[in-house]
Amino acid sequence: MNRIWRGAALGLFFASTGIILAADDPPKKDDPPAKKDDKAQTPTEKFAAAKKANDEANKNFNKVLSEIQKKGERPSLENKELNEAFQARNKTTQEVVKAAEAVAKEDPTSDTGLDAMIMVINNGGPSPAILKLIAEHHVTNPKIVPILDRLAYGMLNKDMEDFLTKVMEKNTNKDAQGKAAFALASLMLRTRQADAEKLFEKIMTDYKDVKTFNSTLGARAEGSLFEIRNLSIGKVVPDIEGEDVDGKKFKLSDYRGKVVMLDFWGHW
Amino acid sequence: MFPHERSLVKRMEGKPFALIGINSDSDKEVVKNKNEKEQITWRSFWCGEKGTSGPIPTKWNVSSWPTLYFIDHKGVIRQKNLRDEKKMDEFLDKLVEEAEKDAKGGGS
Repeated sequence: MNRIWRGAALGLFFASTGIILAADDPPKKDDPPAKKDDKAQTPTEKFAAAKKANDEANKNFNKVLSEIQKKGERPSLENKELNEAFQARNKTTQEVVKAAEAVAKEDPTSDTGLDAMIMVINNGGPSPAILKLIAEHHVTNPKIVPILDRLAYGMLNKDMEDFLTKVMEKNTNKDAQGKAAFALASLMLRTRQADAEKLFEKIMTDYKDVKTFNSTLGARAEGSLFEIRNLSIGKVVPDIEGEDVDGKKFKLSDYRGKVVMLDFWGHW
Repeated sequence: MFPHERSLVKRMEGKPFALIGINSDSDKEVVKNKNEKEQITWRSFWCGEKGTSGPIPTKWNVSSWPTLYFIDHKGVIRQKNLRDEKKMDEFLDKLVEEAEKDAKGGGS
């Protein structure tokens, strides 16, 4: 349960939707296209209604959360009210994603269709089917810029690689190109290091100043290049100088001559 | 993680081995209290109040926790992110054996 808070703290977006992803059913074709004389809602209407319900559930969750924080307590899902608000939010988010998927498939070329696709990516994760639709119909649209930031985490698959490569080639917006390159390089970092290094180098020359979260692509690419060049297997470990919890200074190199297991950890 | 680490530290007593943490909690007092409760006896660098975005994790490009590095007695990174406890033990035993051999003058 703790993981949810950690995810939020780290800015790992999909971590906060982990439960949703896990609970997500495979897309169902449960709705035949609505007939004109039918009283049933069209996909667009359903999407709008689901969005509204989700906005309200979000608002309520944030309200409960801020009340807990105001009291100076640490938010935990063991808190019944928060847990309920959290579950309600997740449920409405799943419904939005489903409704948005239906709109995206019914109306893939319009602006409404693109909005729905963005909604799916932001709330349900990078679905390959949706990535394909964006690649096909909206790859040059500057509106896709914000979702690119979210694609730098997870596993690389072919649909993702095709999508990001296409954005880099076809979108004329510099932010879009840079963010797509960064996402692709990040996904390649642990499995295709040579390709990743080239892309990060390109980011340093062409897209260094593009803003991402509260940093820049340049600053983040630099970290990844440091990892590739100095922290790969076979490299001599860079020294660390710092203080322990009691404020005593020490260095990693103090332990040279011993085998060291270095563990980035936290109590959270 | 903690139970395995505790037994690892115990098992390696007297051997050329150290478990070094990079603690990324933002509240130092919380760390001290919990270390005592959880019997965490091994040493950790503390990353400062910025926690996971402190200077050490930032420089090391760490984006998920725990992140693990296995470093031999010469300071060479030999493995990363081995998580299976049995494999971890086997790998560390191998590195410790190398270190002991070298210490006896068996190495080149």
